[in-house]
Amino acid sequence: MRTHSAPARLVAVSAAAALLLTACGDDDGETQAAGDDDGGTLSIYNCEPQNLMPGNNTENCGSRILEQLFTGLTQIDYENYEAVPAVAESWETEDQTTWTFHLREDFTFHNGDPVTAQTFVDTFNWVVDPDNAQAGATFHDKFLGYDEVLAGDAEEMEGVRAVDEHTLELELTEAFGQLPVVLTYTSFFPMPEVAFEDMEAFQTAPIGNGRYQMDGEWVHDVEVAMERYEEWPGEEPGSPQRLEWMIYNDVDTAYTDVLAGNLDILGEVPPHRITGIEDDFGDDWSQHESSRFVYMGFPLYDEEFQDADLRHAMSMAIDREEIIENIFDGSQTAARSILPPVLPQGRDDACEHCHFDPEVAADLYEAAGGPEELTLYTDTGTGHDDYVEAIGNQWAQNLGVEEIRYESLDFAQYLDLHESEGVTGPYRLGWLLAYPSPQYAMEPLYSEGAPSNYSGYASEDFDALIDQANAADVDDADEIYQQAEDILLEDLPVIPLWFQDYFIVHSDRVADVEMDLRSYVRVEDVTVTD
Amino acid sequence: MTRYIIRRLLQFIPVLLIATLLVYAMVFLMPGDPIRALAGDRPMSDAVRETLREQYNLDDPFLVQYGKYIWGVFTAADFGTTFTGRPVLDIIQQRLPVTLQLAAVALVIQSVIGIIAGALAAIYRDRFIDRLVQVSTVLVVALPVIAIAFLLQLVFGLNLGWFPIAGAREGLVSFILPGVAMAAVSTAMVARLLRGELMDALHSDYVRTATAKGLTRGRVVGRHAMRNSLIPVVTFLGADLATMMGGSIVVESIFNLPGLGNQVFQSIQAQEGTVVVGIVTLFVIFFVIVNLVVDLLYGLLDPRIRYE
Repeated sequence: MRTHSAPARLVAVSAAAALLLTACGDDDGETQAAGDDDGGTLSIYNCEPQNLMPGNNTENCGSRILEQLFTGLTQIDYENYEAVPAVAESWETEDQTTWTFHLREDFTFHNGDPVTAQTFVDTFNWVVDPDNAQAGATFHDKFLGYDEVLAGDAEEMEGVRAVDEHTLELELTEAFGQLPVVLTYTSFFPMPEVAFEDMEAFQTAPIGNGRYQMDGEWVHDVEVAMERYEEWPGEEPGSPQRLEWMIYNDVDTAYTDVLAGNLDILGEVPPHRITGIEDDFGDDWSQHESSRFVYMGFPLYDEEFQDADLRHAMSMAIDREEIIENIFDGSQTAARSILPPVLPQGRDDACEHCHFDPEVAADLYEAAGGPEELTLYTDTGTGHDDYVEAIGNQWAQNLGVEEIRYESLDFAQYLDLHESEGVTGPYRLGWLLAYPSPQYAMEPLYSEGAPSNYSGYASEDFDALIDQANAADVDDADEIYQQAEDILLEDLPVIPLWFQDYFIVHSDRVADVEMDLRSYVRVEDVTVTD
Repeated sequence: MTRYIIRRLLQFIPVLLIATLLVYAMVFLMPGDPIRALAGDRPMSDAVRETLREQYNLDDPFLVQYGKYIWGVFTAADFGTTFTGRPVLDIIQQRLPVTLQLAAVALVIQSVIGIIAGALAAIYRDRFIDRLVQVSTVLVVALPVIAIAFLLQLVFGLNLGWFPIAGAREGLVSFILPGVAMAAVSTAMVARLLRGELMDALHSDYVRTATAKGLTRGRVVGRHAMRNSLIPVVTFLGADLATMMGGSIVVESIFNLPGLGNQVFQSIQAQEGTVVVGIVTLFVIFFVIVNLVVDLLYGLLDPRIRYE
């Protein structure tokens, strides 16, 4: 034994020394960071992104990260949800069809490359090129020449032109006053030249032009770390000096980690935790309305659901408040509109037929010859089955529907069934605004032949109003969009159920935790207090 | 001996082919278009969808898809990419160490604690320590792994703050709670198994002979009784280590460890056939190797066992 003691002691000493060294190292790091600027480090819950390519991103996990790394032509003012200058300092249009954007000269990518009009031309064309298979390509479909590029008949979109180094001209196929708001979306972020050479390498550490730059690479399933980009020339630089996006595959574990003080912010508290949130967090939590719209759609290609009275009856037979109370512990806002009330254009109580009135509903349903058997469709997971079943029960009870069957499918299968028009009864779906425009809350879902119009709804009046509103100047459009919404609320191709609320919990070392209508925590505005 | 090992290794090939084919079939025959599901509620243009379907051979008949996959594996060590473009090999390289560390911690816990507890219980039969082992093992076996994991997380992670709750950032310390959760049931099984075996051995003729020869108690138990009693325990530990790969799904998820079990679960949900096949192949290889090692260990424990 004695002979072993010397090396053992040596190990112990070096281990202690190593500990001491790391301890010092940590201290140094912190004081240094504080010396630069006392923004501090903020750790935020996130899910594993599908990718970090701006043009290919269609989900929240990647989008939240990309928004900090990139700055588009325009950005959203979260006070009033209007488009305000970002890379473009100003823009003008005569007819809402041809737009001229004047770019600031001081925006650079994190590698020092300047952001010019040509940058946007190259990026937009690359994203739309079908060979690159970018999921966000469809967001460019209003540019002149989109169809030609998609069909392989042209290399570049005719409507996207660099007039000079800092003037970008965008020409659309039809007048569209919402363009500046649309351009805030992830798919329109500029990408540096180096990205196109090797997109795989690029997305492990994207080089953007945003408030924050990558610190190291994206460690899959573990974290994405970023530091404030001090050369960012915009108005409000990020408040924290450093952002650490911690990737969890289980929200419950993240919740426990915030409780234990290991994580600063969790922006999507799981529903079953909401009852205990006050006990767990005291004042360190908040509830936020979002634009996530949950609805019951009707397969209007089916004879059975043609009568609008029938749809009114089914809407009035749902006690939304009861379901919200019993199933969601109050974590939703009952929907009485299709435009989310968090939008400036949204109205709290626009829907006449969204109030619970079982007697009127029963009479209407009988008069309309409502079916005695119904099949309700839902996708499995995250509690959809629960509320769809509750709605089924209420229909059975209030409308006298005798037999209700439930079809619960995997999401991929569910979408396939919708696309093949195989749905034979009411179905649940949701919609979240990618950019805050009433156009986006309606056109993709209810215009004839629109890509997400799963109900097969078609109304000439509605389409005409949407066209008119799209063509209008952004200031004049609001009222026309509301008229279009009124048509939907009368025809009721879908029953508005509720708008989802999001709950944020945070550690006691942060303040000013706010959320936008897409349910994104505005991490750049959070104050780290210690 | 060498010939035996080579023969055993050659047997892997058909096992591997059949296992991958089965897994591939199960994942790819799942209904629904995984490419479409990638875009969520939002639409995906047909051009994009077609490019991707072509890229992943999704329009080929099942056997052709499988053939292309296996061809890639053997000719170019290409294990394919996920639908989001990440190489499967990359995922395995990143996640394998996590799962191996977890398995190693669990194996150490269950063999050390299990064997000590089982041996003490057998030696001090019907005394307090034996009763303690008996009661606690029944209790542990009765609890589901998920309950044990949450309990450990709440008590030692949240309330006492001794160990991290999530992630693998803090090195070995991060693996202690998940390792205990994963090892708990097996530790109890090892203890009970060894207790039974050792008690039988202590009453057998050869132990009586050894005692009669005047050997010390320690030598009798340690060299004679234990050695024989460990054979079934090693078999159990081997089988358990192999199944641990699959068992890591729950534990890795609760403790947010970026390991392979966790990935398999997510990939099945996303219908990522190539990822599932890649990882399951790895599990199969692991299983076969562990079995071989266990068989070879018998020879060390019992010299009468020989391999030809």
